[in-house]
Amino acid sequence: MIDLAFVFFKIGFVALGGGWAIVGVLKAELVSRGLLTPEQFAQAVSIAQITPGPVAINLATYTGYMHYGFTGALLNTLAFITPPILVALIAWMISRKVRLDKRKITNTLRSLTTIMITVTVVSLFLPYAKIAQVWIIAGTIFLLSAKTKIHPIFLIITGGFLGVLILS
Amino acid sequence: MIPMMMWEMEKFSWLKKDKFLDVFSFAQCIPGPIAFNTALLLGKRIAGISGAFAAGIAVIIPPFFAIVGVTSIVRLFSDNVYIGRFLKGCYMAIVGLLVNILWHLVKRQKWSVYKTLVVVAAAVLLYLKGSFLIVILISTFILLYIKEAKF
Repeated sequence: MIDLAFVFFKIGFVALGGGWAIVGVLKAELVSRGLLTPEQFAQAVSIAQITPGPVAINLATYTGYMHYGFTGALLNTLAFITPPILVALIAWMISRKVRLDKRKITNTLRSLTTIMITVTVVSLFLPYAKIAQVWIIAGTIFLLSAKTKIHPIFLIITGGFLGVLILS
Repeated sequence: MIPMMMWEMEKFSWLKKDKFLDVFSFAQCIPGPIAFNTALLLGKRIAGISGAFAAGIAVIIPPFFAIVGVTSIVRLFSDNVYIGRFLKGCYMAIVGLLVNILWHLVKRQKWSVYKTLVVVAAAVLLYLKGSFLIVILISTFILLYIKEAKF
């Protein structure tokens, strides 16, 4: 239980650019340690996204709950939100003394987010890349999200129903 | 979630829109889920450290119980083929949405040869050697920050 919470604690420090950026590295950590199978991880991601709340926190709560029940869920959630609190405290303290160029930091962080989301997309998609139906669902939803203004949650549910229809 | 927070802040006249955007951009600079960070920083801004704690805790309570509830329900049907396919479909839809986010993110930036190389190299390394996560990210940050200084 502590192992699991520690993974989330560690990842918490590098969770730059929001929740989605870390899903890829989180998958690598959890699967390589045998804490979740790729199949279970895929299910966790879907559930975390269709439940209200930030996806990364939901993922932490979900894995904790799946493995160790309520206590696990609580421990994981807390482990995951401690790093941002610590970093925020440090940032408040040093921001009075040191002046870093805000624009430069923002630009650099944006590049880091790009890297991490790329890793997320690749590691989420690659295991299923041989299945044709998967391309159809991901492709359709990509086009819909790029060309229309439909709310993402409806697109995800659409994807779910497409899955029921065409996946085997 | 963020637009709703902004709206509520103005409604209670706690914080003006431009001040809110300052807080939001700071929230993006610290690790962690952006919605959580924003709540934390807004709490601090309006009511000090105790406000930060109150807001931080308040923003994670609803999703926490939502997850516990949803998981308990899904568990009952975990053998159901259709639920499995539905979740798999959602998962693929998420991949589609992420590609769209990534596309916008790439489009919004300026890409020098140097930056492209660093970003591609870091992404490949991170994918192959996830265990060196922190080392890779810190060195990438430094590499990119130094170069950014010359613009």
